[in-house]
Amino acid sequence: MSAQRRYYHAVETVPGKCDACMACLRTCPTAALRIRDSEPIILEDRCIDCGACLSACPRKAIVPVVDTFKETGPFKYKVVVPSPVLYAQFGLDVSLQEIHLGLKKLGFDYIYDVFGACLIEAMAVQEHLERLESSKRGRDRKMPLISSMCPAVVRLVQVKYPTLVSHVLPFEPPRELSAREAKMKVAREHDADIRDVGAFYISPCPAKSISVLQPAEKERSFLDRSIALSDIYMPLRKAISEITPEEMGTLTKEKFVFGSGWERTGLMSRSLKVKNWIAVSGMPHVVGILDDIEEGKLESVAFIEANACIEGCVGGSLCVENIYVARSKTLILETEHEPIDRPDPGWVRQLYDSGYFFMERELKPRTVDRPADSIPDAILFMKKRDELVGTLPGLDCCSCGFPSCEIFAEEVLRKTAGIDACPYFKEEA
Amino acid sequence: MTEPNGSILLCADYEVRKGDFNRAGEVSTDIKARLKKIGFDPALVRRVAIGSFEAEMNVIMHARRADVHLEVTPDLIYVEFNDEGPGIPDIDLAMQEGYSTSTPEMRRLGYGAGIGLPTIKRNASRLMIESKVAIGTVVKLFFTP
Repeated sequence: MSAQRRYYHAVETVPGKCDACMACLRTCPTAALRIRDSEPIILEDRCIDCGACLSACPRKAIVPVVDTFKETGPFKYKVVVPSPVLYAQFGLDVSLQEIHLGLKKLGFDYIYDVFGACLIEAMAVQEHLERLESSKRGRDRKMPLISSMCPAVVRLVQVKYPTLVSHVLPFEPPRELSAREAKMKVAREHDADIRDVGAFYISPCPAKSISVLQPAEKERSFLDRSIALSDIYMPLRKAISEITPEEMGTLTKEKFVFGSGWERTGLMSRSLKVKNWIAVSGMPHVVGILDDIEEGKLESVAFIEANACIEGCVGGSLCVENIYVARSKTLILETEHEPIDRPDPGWVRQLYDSGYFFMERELKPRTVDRPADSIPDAILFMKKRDELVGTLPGLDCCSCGFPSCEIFAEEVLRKTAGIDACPYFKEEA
Repeated sequence: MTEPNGSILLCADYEVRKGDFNRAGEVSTDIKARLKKIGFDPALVRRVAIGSFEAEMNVIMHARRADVHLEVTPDLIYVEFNDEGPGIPDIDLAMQEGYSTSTPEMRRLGYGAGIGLPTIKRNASRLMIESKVAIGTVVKLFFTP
């Protein structure tokens, strides 16, 4: 992999597996896929790592690229930050205690969940919204605010909705806050250098994996590695099955919590005390809502929680358990565990003022191909495109290897595709 | 300002039908997508999207059907809604904010606040309405960058 690459991606293709069924082309929300000579091609600039193609491909010709959990690196102390979704991948007979013990048996020294970070971030978002509200006379507020939690949605906004970039909540997501907190705490405890502490994220989706390798809004993530949930699942299961009663005894003094996490769509919005919010999940629905925001139809809404996966992170493409089984497990876990105590709002306000929650850098739109540099040339290009589309069947059958007749026509005009790639095109006599 | 003439570069045509709430907004979303792709100023694209959406909703609620015609030149974006419908007896009255002929059913759906035409007027650079009662209405929206 060249160090000069502009964008890293968490999905890659496996040669020889694709049977050109075009399922991936039809599902990709940013039209980032092509099929040439029965091989899928991922367009680097357009791919947002949402993982839709992974779930769509019946032949596993597109697979996730993630660090395997064996590569835990040269760190003296290893902290694992599991996505709350991890706890929902096991049956009801496996307790949180056992999951933590299993993680320790796999070599992690500390387990640092994201629940506390979610709780204080929700309070900070509240604070942020109130301040925006009070400054609305200045006309500088952007409504509604869009959650920054799902990295696929953040990237979708960057690629497809450049004008909405300023609507994205400028906060670090809870996993980043947790990792920063955990590394500082462990380094303090051992009087160690912070670089000796490695933070590992157990990720439910490729988008979050890639946000660790290449964050959208800063140089480096506070997390050092990301481990695919699907990759650690079997070793973790095995470790859990080998737990002895003595080992269980070592954990009894730890406090276990489950709740205030954002693993299901709607949980984040409900933890905010705003009246007018929308929680949306699944790419087609997210696109619909973003279109509405762009068209000025949702200005009375304060907050949008948008997750690329159906039902939120429990539907991530690296999850092992069926999404609705996992969803139910999170609901059961929530009722079984006491909620975490709300911290003092004054303290959260202080953190807010100190910049604790804010992203390091401003989020920037990603420029993807324009038809032409000038408006008149672009109009002419679109006119030629429309004329060419008129001669195509308009079925968006993808037989040409492009996601739609429109995109195929554009590529023909750019001479990056031949018109004979369309099996239905007939030169008019 | 006159209607666009020889300099027309890009055209598109659509149809909108009465009561088709399921597809409401498709025409304005398509117009928006085209203008966005061409690279027009986002603020202008937004004005066209909002204006076209309101006009589209007016057809869906009040008329039987309409032909929508889009013309795009570098200096002017023109959207015309040509409907077969009841017509507007008093255009000045219809232009007043809050004036509405919507039925209780429409209001229950969240429409009919009497802000459609005023919203179009606010967003378009120029708005022209020609109407014949019991025949139909032509709404012409002009947007200049």
